[in-house]
Amino acid sequence: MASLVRPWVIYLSLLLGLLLASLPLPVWMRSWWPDWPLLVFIYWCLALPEGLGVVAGWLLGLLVDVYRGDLLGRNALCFALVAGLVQVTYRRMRHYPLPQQSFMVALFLLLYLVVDFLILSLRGTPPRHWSFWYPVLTGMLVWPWLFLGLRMLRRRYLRSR
Amino acid sequence: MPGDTGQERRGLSLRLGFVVLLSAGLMLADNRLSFLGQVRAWLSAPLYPLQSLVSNGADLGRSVAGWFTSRESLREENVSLRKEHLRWRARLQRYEVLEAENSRLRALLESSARLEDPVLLAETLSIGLRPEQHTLVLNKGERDGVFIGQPVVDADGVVGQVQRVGARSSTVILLTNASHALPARLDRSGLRAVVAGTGFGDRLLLNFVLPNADVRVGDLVVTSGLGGRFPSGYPVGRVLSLEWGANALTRAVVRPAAQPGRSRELLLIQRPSAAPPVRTAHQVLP
Repeated sequence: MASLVRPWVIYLSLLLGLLLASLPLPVWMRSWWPDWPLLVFIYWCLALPEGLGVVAGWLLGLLVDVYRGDLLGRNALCFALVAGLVQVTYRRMRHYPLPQQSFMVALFLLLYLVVDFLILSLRGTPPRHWSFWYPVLTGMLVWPWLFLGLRMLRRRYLRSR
Repeated sequence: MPGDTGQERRGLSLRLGFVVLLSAGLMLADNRLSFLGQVRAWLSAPLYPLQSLVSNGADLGRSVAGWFTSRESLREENVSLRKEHLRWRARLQRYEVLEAENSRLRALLESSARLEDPVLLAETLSIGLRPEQHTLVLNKGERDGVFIGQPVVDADGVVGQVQRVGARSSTVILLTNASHALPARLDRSGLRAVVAGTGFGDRLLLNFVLPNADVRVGDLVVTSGLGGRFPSGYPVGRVLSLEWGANALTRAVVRPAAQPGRSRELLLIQRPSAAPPVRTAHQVLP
């Protein structure tokens, strides 16, 4: 990422995603709350696939694990897998219209939760409620706005390549 | 460009495979071994300002909202609080008499058990954990003397126990977590049983009760003190219903007494003398 002018924008937006994810919310809203850090990370993966990849995803996921006091490696693995998926598909994704793009993002989120579900089940504490899967829906709905916002940010502050 | 040629793609899958193995190893280590606790404490220290920022922001929002509370609602609240205060004072008088009597009787029996345990007040850091996780993060850590396995209660009953300790924060596993169980007894009949979490926030299970055991709907379940982690006599919940379980045994559904989502202040019970040797936090209680 040597060619970037202001890489702190990326860190700042990821930090903001973490803050958004940790807002104190009423319980009913919390299970619908999209996975902000992951969504922001997917955006930067799409925008700068040379800079952010599997390893960056793993590190960020580890940070999320520590932040939430969660099983170390749980989010790390999921973030890395999603990063790998984006690395394979970003060429096509970039040319999709926004609705189709958010559908793809929903697929990524679904995969993320499936892996998470497997991890939790192996550990003996599978989630018992459908609310576990709600963030896929809300993430899909939120994606276009997030995409437009972050693209504006990127065009303003980052000159890549 | 990644994903461009076959070579690049091989590189990607190599990296992915490496990361998957690394994560699996990390999760196993975190689940089974305890040495990662130090690593975690070390990693979470720089994140603490972020957590407290969110928490303080929420406090600020609440106090701003407090300025706009109407005079009418404040008066109503005041009246109801006054009533409640009176009611508790009346009960407290009885309690004081009972405590004095109890300590007199205990002195007669030459036993040194006490009714009151020293406590440490802690606040939950509102860091938006998902409800299915059944854990909480508190703003007290190793520096405040928090230890693994320390019981956590709120105003109504047992909340859970400390699972992991950081320098300034700690993670609490709730009673309702499916991997948690604690020894309890029925207050009325003295029947001992194990109360297990279910993964649902509003129910616990009293497993393996004999069909002819003395359990009734509405019975108060309290901690038994067996196992050495929880002091005895703290309310766990009330029996909500009885249903058939495995092997012709019954099981009782218990509604937890504590409501950790409702208030932010929780109490950590300090009993360093009775703390068992610390082992991994995921160990299910005996």
